[in-house]
This record gives sequence, C-alpha cells and structure tokens, in this order.
Amino acid sequence: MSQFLERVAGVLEMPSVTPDFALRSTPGWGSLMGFALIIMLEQEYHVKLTVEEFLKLETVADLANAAGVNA
Amino acid sequence: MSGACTVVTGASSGIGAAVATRLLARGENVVAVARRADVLAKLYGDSPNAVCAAVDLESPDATARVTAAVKERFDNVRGFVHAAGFVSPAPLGLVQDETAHRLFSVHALFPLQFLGWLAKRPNHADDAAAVLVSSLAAHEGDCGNAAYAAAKGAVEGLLRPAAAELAPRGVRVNAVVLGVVDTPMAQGSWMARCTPEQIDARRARYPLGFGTPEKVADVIDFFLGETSAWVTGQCLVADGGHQLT
Repeated sequence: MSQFLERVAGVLEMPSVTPDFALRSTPGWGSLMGFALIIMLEQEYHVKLTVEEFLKLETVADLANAAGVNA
Repeated sequence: MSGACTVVTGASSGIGAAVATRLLARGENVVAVARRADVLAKLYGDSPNAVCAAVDLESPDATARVTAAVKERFDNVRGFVHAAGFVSPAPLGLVQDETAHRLFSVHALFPLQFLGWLAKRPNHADDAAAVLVSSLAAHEGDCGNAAYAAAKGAVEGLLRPAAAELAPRGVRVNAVVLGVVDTPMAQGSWMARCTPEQIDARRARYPLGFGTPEKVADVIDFFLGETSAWVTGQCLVADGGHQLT
C-alpha cells in the first residue's frame, strides 16, 4: 500500500483502503472525518482544499488527484 | 524618546494594528511587535512615537528582545496588549507536537514571561494595565480547535494569578474573550475554506455581526485606560451577542 493510502486509511481508521474506495462509505463517516482528510492533505502534501472542493471528491483516488500524488 | 510606552504584539495586522494605530494617533508611545520588519516599517516607520520590534514570539529569546526594545527607548511600560496569535485547526488525532508548542509559545508562554518581567518595579508605570486577548474557542466545543482552545485557555488561566500578584503594585491585568472577528487571521484560515454561504450561516449566529479590529480596539482601550481603573482580573466577552443565540 502506498504511503498515501496508508495515511488515508489512518485518518479513516480503516485497516486499509483502495483507490476506488468511496470516502463516504467509511463506517462512522461524518464531517469531522472529512475535515481530518482536509487537514491531512495540508499537513502532509501542503495542499489546501476548500470545503466546497472537498465535497466534490468521492473516492480515495479523487483525493489523491487533489493532493497531486499517485495512490 | 523617554517616558512610558504600550507594548502591542501582533501589531502588523488586525486587532494589534488597530490598537497600535489608535494609541499612536493619540500621541502615545508604542512598541509595535510582530514578526515582519518590513510590514512594521510600512505601518509605523513614519511615526516618531513608535518603536518597531521585529520579533518572532515563538523564539526562546522573544521576551528578552521585546523588553530590550522597550528599555532602549523608554523608561517603562504603561500598557501591554497581547494580540499576537494564529490558528492551526486540526482534529485531535492530527494535532502536531510542533504546532501545539508554537501555539502555546505565542499565545500563553510569551505573556507569562512578559508579565513576569513587567512585575518588577522599574519596568512598569504606577498605573500600568495589561490586556490579554482570548477567544470563545476556549469555552466552546468547536471540533478541530483543541490546540488553539487549550492555548487560549492557558491565557485565561494566567490572567487571575497575574492580576492578583500585580494588583498591590497598581498594575491591572484583564482579558477580552472574542467571538469571530473579521481579521486577516480569520480570512486566511477558516474563512478561506468556506463558501460565502457557509460564512453567512456563521454570521447569522452573530446578532451584531462579526467583530472588527476597531470594535475590539474599543474594548481594549477601555481596559488600558483610567475608566477601568477599578477593574482587574476580569474576562470581558465581546462576541456580538453570539452567546445569546
């Protein structure tokens, strides 16, 4: 699993995730989890997303594209 | 220059700049503290009553450098306004140690050390007043604000013992606890993430609207001046009626 997938899995508290995993299908998904992904992108990839931009992302691959990394 | 001065941190923008500008307009002496020398020079370089102190309050020698700037030009301190600050939102699990240390250094450790220096007789005027800037974040349960809220809570924890120790000297210490103030700090943090509609939704919870640096400077001015001469160790909430909603 790539470092990016590991980081996303860590935030989502999942054992692992795949690129096609739908973010909002995470057990216990909520706004705080979405916020945590936004902050993780800022801290680790120096990418700042607005809430509006984040809401358009559906999968882990979308998130990777937003971060500019290969999932 | 000689005489007493007011030390204003965060003087390069927002609340700190509003306070420093107001004091200078009245002919008072100000030590304007902020990180960026170029911004300070642009704002206060032409003011004969201002001393610009380009100091990063995160640095271990911040208090020594600020107090040196005071003593180099002035006799003592009559006012201290600690408006410097920054936010760094993150859920609990993503709070970085370095960021948390920076938050505590700027918001709480610096005023603790500066008030410690101010507590010595030669360093303060007989009627000196200090104003610390806190935030409703320390009182509300906003998710993602734990580190900032903890740092502001530390500021309020400092307030009363400091006020008690300094009161016999005639030095007062008070705090303003602020709701949302439309400052460059807010614009660069949560406002930048939100849509105009989301910002409007938050503004709707402020019956008197968001604060402005000038409105906050009015409150700080009260605590600095003689009209609050019988008030110390107090937190005054300025939030546009937010807590009523």
